[in-house]
Amino acid sequence: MTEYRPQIPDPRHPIKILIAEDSITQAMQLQNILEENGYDVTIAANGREALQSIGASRPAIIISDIVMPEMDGYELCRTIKADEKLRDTPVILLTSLSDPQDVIKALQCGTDKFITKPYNKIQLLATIEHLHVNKNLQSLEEIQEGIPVSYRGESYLITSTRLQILNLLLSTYETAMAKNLDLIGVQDELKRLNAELEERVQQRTETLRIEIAERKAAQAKLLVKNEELNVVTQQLWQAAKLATMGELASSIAHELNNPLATVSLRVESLTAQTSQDDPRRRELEIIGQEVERMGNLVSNLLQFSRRSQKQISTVDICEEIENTIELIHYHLRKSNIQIIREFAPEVPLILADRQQLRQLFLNLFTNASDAIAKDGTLTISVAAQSEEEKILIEITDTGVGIPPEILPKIMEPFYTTKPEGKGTGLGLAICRRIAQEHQGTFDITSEGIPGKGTKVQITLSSIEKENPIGLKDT
Amino acid sequence: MKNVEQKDSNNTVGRIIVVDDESELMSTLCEMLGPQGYETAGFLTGAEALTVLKNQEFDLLLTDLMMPEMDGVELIRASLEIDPNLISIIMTGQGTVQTAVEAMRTGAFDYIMKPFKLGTLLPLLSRAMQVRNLLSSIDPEQ
Repeated sequence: MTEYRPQIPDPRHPIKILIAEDSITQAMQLQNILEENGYDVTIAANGREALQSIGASRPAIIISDIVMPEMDGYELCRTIKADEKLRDTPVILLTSLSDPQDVIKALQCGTDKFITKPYNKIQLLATIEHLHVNKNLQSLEEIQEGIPVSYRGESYLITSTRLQILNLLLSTYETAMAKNLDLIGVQDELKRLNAELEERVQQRTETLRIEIAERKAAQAKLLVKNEELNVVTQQLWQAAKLATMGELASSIAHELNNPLATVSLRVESLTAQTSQDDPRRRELEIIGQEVERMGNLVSNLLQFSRRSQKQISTVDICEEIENTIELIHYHLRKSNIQIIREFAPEVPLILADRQQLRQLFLNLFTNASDAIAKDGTLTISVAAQSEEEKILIEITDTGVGIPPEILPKIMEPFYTTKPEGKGTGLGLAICRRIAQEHQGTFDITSEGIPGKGTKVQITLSSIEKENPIGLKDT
Repeated sequence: MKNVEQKDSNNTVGRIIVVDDESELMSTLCEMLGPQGYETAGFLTGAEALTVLKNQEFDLLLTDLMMPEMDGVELIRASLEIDPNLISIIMTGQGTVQTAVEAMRTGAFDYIMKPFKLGTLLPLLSRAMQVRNLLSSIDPEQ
């Protein structure tokens, strides 16, 4: 849009403008604009006052509101245009142009120009200047005969000059154009706002999507944590159970061992006194065996509850495994179980309880041997995990394996799958505790397929020295 | 009092004083060691055993470790003051080697874990008797 630069009128001969407007604020606003641009402005509160002041002030242009008390804008215009002396003075009507009838009425009364309210300052000034410059043109034309116009069943006689009509129509067109421009502007603004809104919606959607994803992730994490908590709770329960068991075991063991000793000795004595072919001898032997079993059970319980009394010394794991194999070598050979040793070179020595390790290996080798029963292999591998200063031991057998449904239970105290009389159900619980006391882990995996066997993975490292009477490592 | 005494006057392998607060076990041991050639005297408390030790000579002391009032370790220490050459064997129902080892540090000759068989105890007793006899031969006072 090119900016309108008003031609500043000669200040020595300012152009006089009369404003007819009943609203003082609107009149003054208009006056301000015009005076700023060098016009000499007079204000009249209505048509009648305007007519009175025209004679004295002789304005070059009259700007009039339409709706006013006493005499309205149309009436004022008609009166001016009817007066021969005044008719050349251009009259501008301020209108909202809301009804085509306004245009007809304006034409009827001979208005020169419309200015729509609310008016655009630049447009207003341009119109005034245009009227002023073309004032002479208008005065040249003769008044024609009236043109009859019919609108909505009513007849009107338009007596304006062609220039007046043209001006009016142009101003109507200009107004329409201005309105249209405004509308386009508003439409553009609306589009812009819409686009902005869309962008905001998209941004918000994206934010929400991220938030939802985050929330889901948090939920997933929570689930994992919950799961971990469950596991830890389970472990705590297990530990509490074991602790109770331990206390119980040590308190009953001593009490039980005394009567067992008596019974064992008495049975032994009776057996000795009974001849080989006496049928009672077999019964006594069974009693003797069962008493021995009770003794073993109590001893196992005591081992299990024994926690604080450690004998720590420097231990070579491979050597300890060899010693343990030696203990059950005869049994393994009898069952035709081959032993495969996969010992890594230079496995470091650790501080450990030799007695406990012996028990750990013995339990596991016996379990493997029981699982194989006859003909199979027992693979024992030892390797150093240098970065963690741990020793990894894997014991794999080719036995019957452990069905998946009982795998979680096998480390519970008193859980046994061995035939009655063969196991106490404490072996693996003891094994796990021994591994844990050596700052290690104890895991059992099995597919539960006969022949594929079971794999036991143990990590061990130096035991923490908490027993001051433990042997010194040299 | 439920003290027990078994004597085989002619063929005595050795004299054993048995102390255990479990009366059944104490009497069983006394009864079963008699036929094996041992002269035995059984007591339920260390105090009674010490009183007898002051007047009578024994070769071996077979005592329980855990007893009320005076435990096995205390009894061994006190009896060694009466007879420095007395050979003591500790019986323990604790099921752990640790306690027995502790006891041996205070002067016991050996230990045995309850429950045990006579077949396990006898070799232990005869080894103890060898040591006792050796000590007696060096020390003519006994």
